[in-house]
Amino acid sequence: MASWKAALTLAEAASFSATDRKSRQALKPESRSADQLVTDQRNMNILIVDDSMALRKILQRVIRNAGVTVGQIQEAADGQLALQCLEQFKPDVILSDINMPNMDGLELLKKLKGSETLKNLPVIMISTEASRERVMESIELGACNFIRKPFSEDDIREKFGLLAKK
Amino acid sequence: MSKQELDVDFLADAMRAAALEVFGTMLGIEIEPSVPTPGVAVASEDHGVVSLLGLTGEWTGSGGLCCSAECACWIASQMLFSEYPEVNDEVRDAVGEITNMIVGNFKNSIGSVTGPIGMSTPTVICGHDMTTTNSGAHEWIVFPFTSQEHSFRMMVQLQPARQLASRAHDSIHHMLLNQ
Repeated sequence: MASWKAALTLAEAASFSATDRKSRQALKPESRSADQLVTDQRNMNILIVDDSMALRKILQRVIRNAGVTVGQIQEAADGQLALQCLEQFKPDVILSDINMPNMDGLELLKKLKGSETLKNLPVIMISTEASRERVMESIELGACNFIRKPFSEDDIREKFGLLAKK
Repeated sequence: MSKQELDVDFLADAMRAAALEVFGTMLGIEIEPSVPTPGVAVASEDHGVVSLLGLTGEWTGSGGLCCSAECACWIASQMLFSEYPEVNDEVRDAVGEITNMIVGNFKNSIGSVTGPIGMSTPTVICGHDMTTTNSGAHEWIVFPFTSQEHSFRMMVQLQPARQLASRAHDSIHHMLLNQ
């Protein structure tokens, strides 16, 4: 977990703050070309956890458009359903929202890090709750990175690129 | 800035920036903001959609989006690249998520003044002749936006939590006296 924590420094976390208004490329339906692939060509199995069906659908599209080499993608609507899904499905990475009913993303993170079999699974938090405090809280609980909503293909490509390097 | 009142221009700047970024990034659409207006009640269109989120912290209240059913279908279509002739679960979900992102970024932006504000998950209502009011009779600030053929309104109502608690205390005291 220490290496994941080290991956995102305090300064990087601060860059997620709400005052960060960097220009973002709008999401598009078309796919990226092969030279923009960001992963190591290994098919990545991904679990998307978000209570919004629309957001899960968008994430699937954006991940593919960002050039991530996708194996299987599964979805869960909250933390509890994600834990159930993980009994059968072995993802390479989890993308999880924070604000969700039943079990929120931070509680899910605690459960994962408390599990012998799941504690090393990388988790990227994705939320509008992107205050510096909330980002740091996520990282301290063991998240390997944080994506602020709204997000662009470039954001997804950057985070998956960092993941692939590890 | 007063601890009892938030400056409308400050709120408008934050709402404008949040809405423009969310529509630009998630829908690829440019929207045009208009002048914000206060109002105790916000009436929706004849057949409309209202998406609301609770806000809580040192400042407490609600934030939301109000638009016609047609505009809600257009938002979902732009977001999910599908056609939606009428409001269904996917449209409600898309409008709720857009509201979540705009209000979420708005409240993050004003956090330097209000302190951290927590946010509920969105509740989306679709119906005819709806009016959204607050029990505390505190005014909404309504932020109109337009794009192409469509228009929608963001709205927010915030007051110091202590003021709300005091009002609740007065109401209970009044009730007990009248028993």
